Amino acid sequence: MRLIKALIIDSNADIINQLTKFAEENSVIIDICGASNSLEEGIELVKTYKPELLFLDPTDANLNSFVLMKELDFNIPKFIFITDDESKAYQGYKYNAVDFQKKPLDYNELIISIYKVIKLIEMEISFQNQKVNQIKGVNFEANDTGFIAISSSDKIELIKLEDIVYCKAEGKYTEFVLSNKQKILSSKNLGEFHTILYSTYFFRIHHSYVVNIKQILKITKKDGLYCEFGNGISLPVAKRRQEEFVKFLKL
Amino acid sequence: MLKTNKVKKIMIVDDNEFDCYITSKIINNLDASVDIMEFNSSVIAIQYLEDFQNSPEKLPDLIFLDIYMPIFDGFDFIEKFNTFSNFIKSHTKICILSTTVDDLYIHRARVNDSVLFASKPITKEFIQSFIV
Repeated sequence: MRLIKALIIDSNADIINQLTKFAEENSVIIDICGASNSLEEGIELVKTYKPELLFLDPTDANLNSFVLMKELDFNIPKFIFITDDESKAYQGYKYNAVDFQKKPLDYNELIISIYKVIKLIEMEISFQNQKVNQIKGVNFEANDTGFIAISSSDKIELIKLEDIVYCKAEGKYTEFVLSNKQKILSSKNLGEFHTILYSTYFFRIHHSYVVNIKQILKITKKDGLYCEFGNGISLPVAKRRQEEFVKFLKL
Repeated sequence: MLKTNKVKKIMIVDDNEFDCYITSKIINNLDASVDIMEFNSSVIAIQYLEDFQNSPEKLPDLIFLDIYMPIFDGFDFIEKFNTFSNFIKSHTKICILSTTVDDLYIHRARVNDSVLFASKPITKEFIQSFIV
C-alpha cells in the first residue's frame, strides 16, 4: 500500500494532536513527518522531508507564503485545508487544495480526504506513465529500422533486433547473443546500447543483461525470477528490477 | 431496502488493498462491533462463500464487491454467487462498490435488482442505512 508522507502547518496544538493520533491509527497509509506553526517556518521541513501532503491552516500569512512553494525542486505537495473559516474555500480552489476540513476533525471525513489525495496522486502517476510510454513508442517507431549496427575492431555487422536473444555487459564491451547461437562482441558498453534498445520489447533485467522479451520461453520463480530462453539459457532478474519487470510484462 | 436486520458481518472483496482498508475503516469508525472480513482475492472470497453457503454463522450479511478485479471480476462473482443455495441468496446481500467511470458498467450493474450499487469511497450515510 502507498504510504503518504504528510506535514502539518498549523499553530493549533489540538489540531496537531488530533492529526498525529489519526496518523497513528492509520499508520499503514499515512506518516506525519513533522509539524510547524507557519508555512514560512515550515518550508525547511518541506524541503527536508519532501512530503506529498500538507495539512494547512490557510491563514493569510500562510497563503502569502505560498510563493515559497515555487522554490521546491520536487512535486508540490497536495493540500488539505483545515479551518473553520469557510470563506477560505475560495482560496482552496485557487491553490488546488484537494479537500477542506472544518474543526473539530472527524476521522471518517479525514480518511475520505486521504482517499482523495491518494487517488489524485495515483491518477497523476498513471497519466504521466501513459504520456511517457506514448512518447517512448513514437520515438522508437521513428528510430526503428529493425536493425542495429554493431562495430568491432575489424568490421561492422548489421543484425535484426528481433534476432537478439540478449545482450550481456562484458566490462567495457557488450556481447550480443543471437537466436542462431552466434555471439557478436561490440566495443561499446551495454549502457550505450540500452538507449537504442529502449523499446517495447527489450528490458534490462540486470546490471549486466538486456533481454528480448519476445525470446523468453518462460519465467521461473525460484529464489527470485529467472528468464529462460531456448538453448537452456537462464538469466536472473535482479531483485531491485523485479517489480519494474513485472510491470513491464503487464502482469 | 434493507432495513429489516442490522448488518453485523460484512465481507469486502477488493483487489486494491488501499480501497479495502478505507472501506473497512469507514465502517468500523461508525460501528466498531461490525465484523469485517477483507478479501483481496475474489477467487478466494467466492470459494469461502461456496464452502460455507449453508452455515449462517460464517456468512456475511452484506458483501461490498469491487468490479474491476483481475482473473475473476465483480460480474463473474455475481454470476457464480447466483448459482449458490437459496439460503445464502436470501441471507447475503451484495453491494457493488466501484470507482467506475464508464456508464456501461453502471447500467450492467443496475440490471440486477437484488444487487445494490454505491460509488467509492462509501459515505457515512450509506453505511448508516445498514448498521443503525
